[in-house]
Amino acid sequence: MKVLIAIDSSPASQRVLEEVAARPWPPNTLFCIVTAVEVGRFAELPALIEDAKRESEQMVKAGAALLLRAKDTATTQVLMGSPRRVVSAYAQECGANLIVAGSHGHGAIGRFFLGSVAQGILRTAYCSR
Amino acid sequence: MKILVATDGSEYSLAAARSLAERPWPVGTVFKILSVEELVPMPIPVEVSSLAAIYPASLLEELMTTARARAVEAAEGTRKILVLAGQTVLEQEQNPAGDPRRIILDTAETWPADIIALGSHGRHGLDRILMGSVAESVAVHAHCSVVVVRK
Repeated sequence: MKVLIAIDSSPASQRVLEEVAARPWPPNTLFCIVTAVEVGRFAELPALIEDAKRESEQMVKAGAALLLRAKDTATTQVLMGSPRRVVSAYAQECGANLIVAGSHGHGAIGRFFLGSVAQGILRTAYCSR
Repeated sequence: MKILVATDGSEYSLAAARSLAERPWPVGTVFKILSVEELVPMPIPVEVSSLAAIYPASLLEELMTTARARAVEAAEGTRKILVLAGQTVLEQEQNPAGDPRRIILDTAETWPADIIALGSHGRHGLDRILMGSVAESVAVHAHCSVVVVRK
């Protein structure tokens, strides 16, 4: 089984990692932790993109470290672009069976709404979520 | 872990059941099957009370009987898949009358479920690219985590 875990630096993402770590999975399950850097925000400032990329790399590596305490394998990937699109596209590309994402990221207004990224993934993904 | 499996007996629901059955779950995990069936396929949710104003009693009774039979069959199909795989199924509940979204969310909240699992589409899934309205609505409004299984 191949599980794609989409995170950002929000508390919901931390809970996602803890939950994945705590749950049993089929033997030889591969975990891939991904995050997306929304390039649009920094389009004019390459230095900022580099900064954001570096921070994101540290974040997914920290996530992998958390997961590795409980599981055998965890790879990481930083994607560039709108999260709701690149996560689904990457899941299809790497043949993921499952996408796990928190219900809210940073931009959330309240718990009444599902985060736009989670909803975007739900609508566009080809595998189970 | 308490998992509420919502089913309408469609191929998507059965695919969801198979996916849940195959996965390992924490020790002590229990499943509860909720079979929801719309009385009349309509773009907007309808309650029995509002149908009673339009339909003659005999037709309504017939609709209810068919829906109930389908709901029992759907729950049984899902139960079989889970039990054969060695999962523990607590009980099943058939609730054919009403808005599936509300029934699923209310049942999950009163149990209370840790996870709601359902197929990405129902019986009336018109579009394979877009997600079914029930799955989307449950994912948006649920207080717990939601597993949406693609076929």
